[in-house]
Amino acid sequence: MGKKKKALSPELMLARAEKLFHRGNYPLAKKEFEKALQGLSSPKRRIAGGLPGGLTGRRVSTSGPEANRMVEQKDVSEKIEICNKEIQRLKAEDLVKRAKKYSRKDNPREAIRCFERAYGITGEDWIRGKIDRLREILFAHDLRRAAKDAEITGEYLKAAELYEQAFTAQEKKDLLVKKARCLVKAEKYGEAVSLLQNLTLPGPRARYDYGFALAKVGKYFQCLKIWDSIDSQDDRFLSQKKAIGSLLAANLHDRFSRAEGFASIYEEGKYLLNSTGAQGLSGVVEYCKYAWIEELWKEERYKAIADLLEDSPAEMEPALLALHAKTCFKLAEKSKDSLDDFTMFWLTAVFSEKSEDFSTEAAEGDKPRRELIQMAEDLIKSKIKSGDSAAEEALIFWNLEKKLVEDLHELIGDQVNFSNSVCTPRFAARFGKSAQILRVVRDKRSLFENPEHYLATGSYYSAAWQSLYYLECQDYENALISLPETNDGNEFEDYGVKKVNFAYGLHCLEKGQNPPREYAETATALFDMVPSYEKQLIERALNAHELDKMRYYEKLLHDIHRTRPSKQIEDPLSLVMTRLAIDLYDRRLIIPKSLEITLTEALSLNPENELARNNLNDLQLVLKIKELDQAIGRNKMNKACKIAAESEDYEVRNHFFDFFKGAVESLDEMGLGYENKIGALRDIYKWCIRVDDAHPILYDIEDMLEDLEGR
Amino acid sequence: MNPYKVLNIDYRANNREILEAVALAMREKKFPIREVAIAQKELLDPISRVVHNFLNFINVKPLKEKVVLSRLEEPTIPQLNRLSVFDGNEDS
Repeated sequence: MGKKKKALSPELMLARAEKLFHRGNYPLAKKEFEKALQGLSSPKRRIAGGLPGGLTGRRVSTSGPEANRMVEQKDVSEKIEICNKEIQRLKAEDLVKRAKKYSRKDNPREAIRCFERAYGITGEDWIRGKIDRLREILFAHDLRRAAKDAEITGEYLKAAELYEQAFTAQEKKDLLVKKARCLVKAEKYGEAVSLLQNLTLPGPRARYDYGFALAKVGKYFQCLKIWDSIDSQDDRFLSQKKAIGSLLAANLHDRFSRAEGFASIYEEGKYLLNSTGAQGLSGVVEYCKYAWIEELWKEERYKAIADLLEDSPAEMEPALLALHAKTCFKLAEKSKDSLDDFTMFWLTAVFSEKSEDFSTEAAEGDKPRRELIQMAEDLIKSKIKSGDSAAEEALIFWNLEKKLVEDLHELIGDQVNFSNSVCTPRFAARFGKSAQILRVVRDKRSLFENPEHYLATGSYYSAAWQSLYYLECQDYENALISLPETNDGNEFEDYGVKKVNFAYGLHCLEKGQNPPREYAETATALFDMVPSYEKQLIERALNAHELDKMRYYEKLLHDIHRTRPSKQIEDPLSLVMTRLAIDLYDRRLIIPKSLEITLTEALSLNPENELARNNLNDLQLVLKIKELDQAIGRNKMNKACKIAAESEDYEVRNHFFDFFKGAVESLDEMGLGYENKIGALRDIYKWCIRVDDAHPILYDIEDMLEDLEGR
Repeated sequence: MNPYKVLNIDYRANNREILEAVALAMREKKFPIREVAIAQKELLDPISRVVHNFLNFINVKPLKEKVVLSRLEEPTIPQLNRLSVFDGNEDS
């Protein structure tokens, strides 16, 4: 048997209730307060008298126990009231939370129920607002459900109407997509198209329906475009697409036969050709392109024409070429860009027109052609004047290309079998005509001024053309980089490659840098093809005066001379090595002996090298005197006498005698004794007579000896 | 400057028509008198007229003539029924 639970005193109950109240546990606090209130109102309690302290801890007067008790009961009742309110507030909060959860879960009905209960508790306006909005949503929900049911049962028009009503209530775009789908199912294609064309279509289902409706109202092109955005390999779908393609093709033919809107026929036909490769349509599309271009030209919409001409065939007849050129000219007149295409097409087009096409009775020869070329040149120059830096490069290419096409035209003239063979290198490269031009060049070889003219002309139409263009702009680095990787062995490409390598090496030399390895070999090979390059190199070498330049030019000329000795290279080599050696000697970078060796070598290459000869003579004199001084200084008088006696330079002998003249004159100052003095004079006499037995110094010495000996 | 535009004439205009157009252009004053005079001079000079013809007119006739137009086979009008293949792909 358990113990009987002891009843708590009202004070303890109140203390517990207070604790719960302060913790915010209002439901339990309320219970405890109610129990305490019961305890306080019991008769037993009333007899026993008042409590020592109330709920608020107030001291109660012992003189009025009944009054104290009433105050306590009132306090407790107030607390119970507060608990009741808090309990209601918490209940409302919980209901709002639940309502929001239902709302999120798209269950407006339950959400409304919870909000309504919460509103019943709090009566707050925002809850009322929520309830109103949810009722609208609920209405739309009901409509959607009804619409869906109607769609399932095949009542498509009714479903469409219900979706429309739902959209009015809810304004969700997907409802309109659903409405459109029902319209399609109800075969109201026009209405479906009107609705769908303004909507962003979310997925393949809506896009299919839109395409289907478009097809049904005869808008096959738009249908194909929208269906092409659906990634599906479903056979039935692909088959429908194919059928629409056929219908579009027939429609285009029909419109073409009525000459109805060439622009749209072209665009739609082009799309169909690109997407399905429709048979039998290319002619219509091509024809419409030109008809549209005619319209665009009248409207001066040159950019649009240029875009249409982008996919022109490689083999262009004069009319198409002229169309390109005129369009590019008009564009170049108006805008900054387009100069590249303009210069490429213009010369080709102007020279592709037969002279008789230009001629009139009064117009002689090719005057109009000249004028058109001048007009284009003026246009480029005007762009340069207006500060267009790209035009400067364009003018360089223009001048190059003008010369090339003029040469070609002069060679070919208006010969029918060479028609379409006058074009710029860029045109030839872009439209695959390079081989044809090279055949013409070879065929007309005998008509060229010289081998260089022949090779240079051909090289611009070879695979090396790009590098040669860079070279024209003195862009040596790019010229080298863009050389063709392999040489197919034709002489023009070979010449072009060698020319670029030669120019690049020359550029290095001019900068005082070492040219690439193998430069001498490639340069020599170029000289064999075109000797004028050798002259160019020699001229540059002879004009070099800076030390580094001379050093590299000398080395190169040496290498070339070693590979292929010739008088032509020996003379400049002799001069350059002389200049270099003298410069190095003057800077004290080489010793006299090295200078002598170099000058001797230079003279052996070219005995007529006056600079080397004169410098060598001077040097040899200096060297002899130096040698003489050394011999005297080391007291090697036999050697000194030998040098002076054998030298053909009177300066050496003079130097010898000047030395001894000075020695004789300073004998007295040397403080020598009598015997020594005579001995020294006799030695000097002996040495001098070996060099020149008639030199006046000998008489002076004889006189001095006589004086001394006769004393 | 396009003299044909200034004088508002076709490229086939003869000298008499050019002069008439000049007189009209002078009266209408749509273009400065100097421009009208230059246009007249350019078009009455045979060489510069050839140049302006080249520059301001295109001739696509030879290009159109070269186009081979093939006849299209009469297409069989297909029975186009709405496919349900995409119905599984809910749009929203």
